[in-house]
Amino acid sequence: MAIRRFSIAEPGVKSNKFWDQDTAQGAMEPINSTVVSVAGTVTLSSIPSTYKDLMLVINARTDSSSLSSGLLRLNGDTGTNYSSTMLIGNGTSATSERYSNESFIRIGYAIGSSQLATTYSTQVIQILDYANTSRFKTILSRDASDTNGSGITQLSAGLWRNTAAISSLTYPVSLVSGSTLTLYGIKAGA
Amino acid sequence: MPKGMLPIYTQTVTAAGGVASITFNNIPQTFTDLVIMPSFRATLNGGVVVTNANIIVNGDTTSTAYSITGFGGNGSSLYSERAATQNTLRLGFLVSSLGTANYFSTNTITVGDYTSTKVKPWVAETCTENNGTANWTGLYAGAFRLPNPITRIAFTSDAGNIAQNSTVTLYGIGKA
Repeated sequence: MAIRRFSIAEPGVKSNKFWDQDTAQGAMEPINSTVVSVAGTVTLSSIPSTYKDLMLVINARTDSSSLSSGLLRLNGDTGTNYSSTMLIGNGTSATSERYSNESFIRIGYAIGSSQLATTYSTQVIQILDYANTSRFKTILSRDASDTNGSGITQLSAGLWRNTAAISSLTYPVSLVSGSTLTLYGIKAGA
Repeated sequence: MPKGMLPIYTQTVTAAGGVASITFNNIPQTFTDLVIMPSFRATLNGGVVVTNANIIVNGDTTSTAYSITGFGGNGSSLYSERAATQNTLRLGFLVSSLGTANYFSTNTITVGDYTSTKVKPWVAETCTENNGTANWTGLYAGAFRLPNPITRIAFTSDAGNIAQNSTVTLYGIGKA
């Protein structure tokens, strides 16, 4: 199949090759799929640096009795190198909150074990340029936690003040059996 | 018809002084939707730590082409804004030169039915995080209101150039 170039980069911009779309591969590849079988925290490790971006999809239910914060640590760093800014709505009011110099990023909320049975929170997390060592790592997270009558939804920004390539992600809150974490790698153009 | 989500193009700013714009030309018309993931900062500030990205579609800067509605928060207060009959599509944030080095914004933008002759809807999730001050998170709706299919998308900054190490990737999504 012939290779075609669809666009010319402007001066000062590096452009990846652009391949004929008939030969292009899917943009998203699953890197790690984890189903929690015994309650505990989860670490996804050995993340390859070969993708452009990462997307992490979590279905979370914790062993806390009530709704609790969903958290994320990068590369096992437990220092106070994280911060978060959130938009939060609970069906009756909206707020914005900010947390600086914490030991985790706040990615949303997680439904607790005493709440509506068989119900999980969903968190979708985007990490762009996760292997770029010239920048700190900013993440964008969306959270949905609904228990038929109460619930919360959140859009949040998180920052890890470190330029290292991301090689592991830890959910440092104890998740119950049936919770799932799926990590996808997203490719750059060709 | 391509299936699923495919990478179309990635551009990375390498010039030390940044570039005035990042442009995707000749966007193929064989997908149903587009997803764009910009992560960028600006070379100047205009007096603010977080500045706006402007998108120009098909090179069109007529004042009736674009509109936006959005809301967001900075950790202590909320806002919602609307702008009609704009000459650019103001979607997404950039960290300005007042932001600490190494801080870049994260944005995801989805464009529905981009080859149609209808008004094209855009949705953007955008954030900057600066550990203490000038952090913004927002969700925006936008519209390119002209009937032309989208073949070209350009990004510019409200404040100076788009800085070195900024990246933008364009993906196409095809039908199952």
